[in-house]
Amino acid sequence: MVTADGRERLDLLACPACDALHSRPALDEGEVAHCVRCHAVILARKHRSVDRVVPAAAAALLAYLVAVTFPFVGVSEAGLANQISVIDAVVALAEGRLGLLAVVLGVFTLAFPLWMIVSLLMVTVPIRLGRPAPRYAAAELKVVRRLAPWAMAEIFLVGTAVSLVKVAGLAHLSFGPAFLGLLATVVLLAMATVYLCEDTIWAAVRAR
Amino acid sequence: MRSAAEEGLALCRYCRTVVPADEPRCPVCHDRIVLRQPRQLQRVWAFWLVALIAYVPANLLPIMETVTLGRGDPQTIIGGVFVLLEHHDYFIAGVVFVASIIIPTAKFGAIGWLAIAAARTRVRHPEGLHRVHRVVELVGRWSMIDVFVVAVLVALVQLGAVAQVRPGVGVLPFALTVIFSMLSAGALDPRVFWDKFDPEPLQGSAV
Ligand SMILES: [Zn+2]
Ligand SMILES: [Zn+2]
Repeated sequence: MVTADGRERLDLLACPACDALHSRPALDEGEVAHCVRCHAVILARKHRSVDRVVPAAAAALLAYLVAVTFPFVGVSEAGLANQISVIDAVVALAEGRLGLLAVVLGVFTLAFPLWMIVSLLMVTVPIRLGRPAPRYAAAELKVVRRLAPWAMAEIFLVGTAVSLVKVAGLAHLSFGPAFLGLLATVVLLAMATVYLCEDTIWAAVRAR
Repeated sequence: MRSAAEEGLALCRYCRTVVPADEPRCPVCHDRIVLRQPRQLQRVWAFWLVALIAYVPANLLPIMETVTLGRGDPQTIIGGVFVLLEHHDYFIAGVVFVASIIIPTAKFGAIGWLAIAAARTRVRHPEGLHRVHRVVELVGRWSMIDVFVVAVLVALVQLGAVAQVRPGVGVLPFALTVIFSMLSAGALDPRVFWDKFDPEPLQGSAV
């Protein structure tokens, strides 16, 4: 239910980056409107958005499950071996000298990406099924937007690559399925975020 | 070019609905309507200062310690870069150097400069400041690489007497530096540059 007394100006749009006031353009799918003053994107309508977000986010969720259940990377040297999953890594850090490091790893690389994937699915699946936008859609879309800079699975992957280079002289390396799983999660989540047409969803929320 | 603020209107930052600026909440997504965050520059500087203070121990203290055959070898951030250089891993050394040294220091300078510019009464080139802010927001998070390097090495390299990696306390202030500099950049609203946009040069002796 809209509490507004109809004071919102749906005929207008302000640039989110510079606040220049525009009349709200009527876009077709696939069209993008830029601010005339600072050229930031002020409105974009993406092509078949929910049709593409749902499979990408669902595949990201699947890849995520692979990433957290299977072995991630391993080392061996002189008969000693250690193979870890991402969860093992968090547990090992939590039990070690600097437990807070486990929190950093768990929150930024495991919790936030999963939260984003789930939020994307919660918003887009009902709309894909032709239902009206769910009551919680606004809250979940805000989650997606707020978390985006803090979901750091791709940075973790680069960090892993760097650490493997550091270890390469010291021990033999092995890769588990989770490495590819996390890589796929990163790519698919990025795709789902790019496909997401916020304008379509907000229009559905307004129409509810 | 009129801004929404000049017309007494405000844009909801989430759902991009234009509403009167005196509306307390967005009618569509119920987010708080804030025309411009009051005291935003204080917030920017506060986060900036925390990040800068944390950056000192982050560089001075070891971020990890490699124990091979009983001998411990603590490593600072810059020490880690040198180890990679010694092993001729120039590309990776470059990645770590850029992510851990160049980006954080450049970011302190950039955010400080932007915050000073935003405090001025008039801004001549808002598009340049705006672009710098976008780059800072985009690139800053990648400094987290070194934190994850330590996390992976500590969890992975546990080969008893052969080799072990232990975390160094410096990694925590370094993570704080990255987090608080991200918060600092995020607290800055680029619209303030455009609010003060004034292309006219100052007249004569007015200064
Ligand atoms: Zn603009
Ligand atoms: Zn809103």
